[in-house]
Amino acid sequence: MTIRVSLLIPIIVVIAVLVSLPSWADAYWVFLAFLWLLYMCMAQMWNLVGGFAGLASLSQQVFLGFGGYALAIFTLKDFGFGLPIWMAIVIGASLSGLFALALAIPIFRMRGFVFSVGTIILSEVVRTWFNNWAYTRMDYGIFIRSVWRIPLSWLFYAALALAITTVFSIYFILHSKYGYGIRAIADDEEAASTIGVNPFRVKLICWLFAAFITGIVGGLYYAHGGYIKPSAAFNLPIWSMMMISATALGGIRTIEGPMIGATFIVWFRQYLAEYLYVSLIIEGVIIMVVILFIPGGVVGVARKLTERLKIKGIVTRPFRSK
Amino acid sequence: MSELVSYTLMGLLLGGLYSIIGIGLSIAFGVLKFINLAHGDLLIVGSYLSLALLLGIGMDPLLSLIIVVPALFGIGYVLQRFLFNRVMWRGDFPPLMVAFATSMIIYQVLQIVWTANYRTLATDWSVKSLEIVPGVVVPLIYIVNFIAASILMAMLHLFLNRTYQGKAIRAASEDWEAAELMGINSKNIFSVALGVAMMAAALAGVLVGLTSSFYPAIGPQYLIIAFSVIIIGGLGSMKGTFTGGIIVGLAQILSAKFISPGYQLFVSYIIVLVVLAIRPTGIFGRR
Repeated sequence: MTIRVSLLIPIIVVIAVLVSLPSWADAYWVFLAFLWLLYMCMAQMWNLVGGFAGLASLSQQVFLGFGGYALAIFTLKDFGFGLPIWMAIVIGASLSGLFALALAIPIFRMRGFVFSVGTIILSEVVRTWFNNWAYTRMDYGIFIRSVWRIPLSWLFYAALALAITTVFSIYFILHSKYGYGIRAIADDEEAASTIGVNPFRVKLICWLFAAFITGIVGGLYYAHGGYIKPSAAFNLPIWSMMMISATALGGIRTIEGPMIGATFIVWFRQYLAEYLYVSLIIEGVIIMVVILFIPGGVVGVARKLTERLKIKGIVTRPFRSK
Repeated sequence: MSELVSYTLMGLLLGGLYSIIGIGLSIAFGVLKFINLAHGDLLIVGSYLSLALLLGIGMDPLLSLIIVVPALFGIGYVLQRFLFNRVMWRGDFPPLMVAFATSMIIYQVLQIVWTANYRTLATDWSVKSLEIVPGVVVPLIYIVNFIAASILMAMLHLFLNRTYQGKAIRAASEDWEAAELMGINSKNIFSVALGVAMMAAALAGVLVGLTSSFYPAIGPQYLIIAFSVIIIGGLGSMKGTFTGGIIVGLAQILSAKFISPGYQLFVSYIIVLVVLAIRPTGIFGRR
């Protein structure tokens, strides 16, 4: 397996810009980049589960919330643990993964619409549970005082490391034996299983990986936010809309798609920060317009354009002898 | 003892309301073969329309049905005609996402127009209670819910069996390609079907407003209740929907009584998840 050289240059440039960012940009831009990295990871994970593996899940925010709550519970002295932050984040992600594993058998029995509604119910069950659980202070929320002194640049580098790991692992998963299996089951599960793909195992890998990474994202996100409550952490519109619209806008079932999509979402969520409702309406309209008229998203359009330019000989000029 | 009887009776009667909530989703699913994720939000649109009429011209919520029901028929028809009909043919994923986006847009618009506050349609008659036998007290609105459910079921039965549109809807839900060969305009019939489903949702919305309170974010809760009803009762059978409504109603009222009011929905959600995991097509459902 090789990575094309033409791809390597932009990748190196982007990583170099991001690595040096805290040294030259002001804190607000570092914060935006931090958000972009986290949103991008979440959208990538939704794309893996909902796009590539064909499991249109609306419950990914559950794993995000688990990551955040684990951070609160395991780092605060009040709960009796007082562990270091990185350890709490790893525990949170592992708990997300375990929860996903426990759910895998019942939830994979559901298909298509039933799966999506099943995940909505799951999300509401978890939210209701945390809303009524006195141990996590119900809907009053928890002030995560243990993380208030962490500098943003540390969190930014952690998010950057996570994002790089995520993107490369998705690249490697998709170009491995399992990657072809993933695409095969999304197209036709029965046909795929007759040619030797185990749909359950392939879906399980995507589902668990997404739960684990989204759990880490939750930990990092709330390490910056410093306050968590169930109605925000397990909020279906805020998180699922973000993941789905970023993926749809950029281009579903592509690796570049969620990165491009997340840029737009971060941009107008910040731009409309005081009007969250308006930005959620825009995201809804984006999903509709993209699905109705441009199913490939930005990446799909770009690919079509380069195809056309290639035919005209503009992008890659073949060598001509006179 | 008489308290237990009251609660059981309340659960049964609440089941009537839940079967109204479920029947709309069931009709839409039977014909269109996809779950309208915006069902709950459209139902709440019905509640808010009725509230607007109540606050604007002081119209009684039950009387406002003559405006709210046709209005929701229109919304359902237009949604299907211009949105869902375009994506229904492209597999599971596109209609699902478009419906999800619709649901979220409706929710946010309600949030902007009406704010996130709790609202209710309760009028002076709807908060009265009735003592059926000494010691057994039931709120009047629960009885109204049950009667409304019975009337709606009877009317839907007549509509689906006696009218051209109803027969066409049934034909299209059996096999839309064959129905099209018989000269049925399937695009129009699909739109009518969602319109009829939304009429049931409008009734449900007004009754929900009279029975309890509502707020913009409550949509998914009623989607889940509607879905629970048809999953427990089976997809595409009216008797099943009625039974499903009663089971969900009982589960909710009894768990509110014996476990904790905070967990009343939790218990019914868990029941649905278990049913889904064991039999994804429902208990009584035909395959």
